[in-house]
Amino acid sequence: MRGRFVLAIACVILCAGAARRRPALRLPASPVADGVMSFSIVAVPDGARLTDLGGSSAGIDLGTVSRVSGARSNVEVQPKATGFEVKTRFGIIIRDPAARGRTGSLLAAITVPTRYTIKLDGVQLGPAARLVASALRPGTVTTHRLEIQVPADAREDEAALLNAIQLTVVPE
Amino acid sequence: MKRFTLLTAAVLFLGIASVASAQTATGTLTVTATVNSSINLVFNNDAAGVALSSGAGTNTATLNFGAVSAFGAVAAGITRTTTATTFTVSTPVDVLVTKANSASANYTLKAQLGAADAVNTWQVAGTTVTNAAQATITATGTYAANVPEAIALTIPFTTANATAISNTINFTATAN
Repeated sequence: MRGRFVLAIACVILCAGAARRRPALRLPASPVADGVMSFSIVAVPDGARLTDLGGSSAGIDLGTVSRVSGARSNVEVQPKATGFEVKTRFGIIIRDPAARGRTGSLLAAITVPTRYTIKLDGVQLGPAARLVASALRPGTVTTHRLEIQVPADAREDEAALLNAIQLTVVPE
Repeated sequence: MKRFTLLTAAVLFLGIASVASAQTATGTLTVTATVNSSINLVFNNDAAGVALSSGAGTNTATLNFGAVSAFGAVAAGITRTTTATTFTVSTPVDVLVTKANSASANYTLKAQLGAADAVNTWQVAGTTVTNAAQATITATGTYAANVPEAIALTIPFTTANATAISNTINFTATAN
């Protein structure tokens, strides 16, 4: 008898869940969708200019750089023994419509294998996502340091730098 | 009965965990840059020469021969030769040219005096340099190697005692 009672309750729970989920598919502004944390990549005063690519994506053009010079404002070039390093900054702002007071962690990975060393906030990036920053508060722009080390033996004809950094924000 | 309840609970927990891990936001930062080739020139002290007074390791250095004479004592690192009417003091200074992101095999080094000198003769690696035009010191310089370049100053015997001599030699390295 008790077994049948539990089965009946489970069925009611499943049916009720299905009934509640259906309207959410038709209405993007459902409570479930509103609760999802999101972020934007934004320019910061001492950072390079960004191109908004929509959603949480942006483009950053560091311009023409060499071991002795950088052409763009807020793009720093620092000679190194083995080449040179290009540095700039950009910002990230997290939005949490649920306003639960939670913070976010930022993970990053590069999408294209490269000879160049790409670091974000001092963390060397690879194909697997790595934790770059944590305790990011929603509504606050956090500044992040992008560093690219260009080896001296990278020839000019193969030195067009194009890569993409996959950023992921995870609620903490 | 108890086993069934436990199983139901486990399924519910898994469902909640799945929803929580799905609440991530992703984006992409596309990074572009164009890397240009470049070369760099610095002056270094040569072990066999007079130490640079300042600027060793940079592209702006000062070399001081000190007090020189035709027949008196010669300071360490200075080589002196004399003729019937002049004497020449010489010392090597290392020139280091490095390249980055370049397919260039070697470089051309040229030198030119900053100001005219009608009295004394200036030479770099045996080549006379004036302020009129750049003189080619080498057309096949080796990258990433300290190349000793002899800086020589020829002074006539007619120069008065305690005469100060000063000039600037501008070096230009060009990738071949």
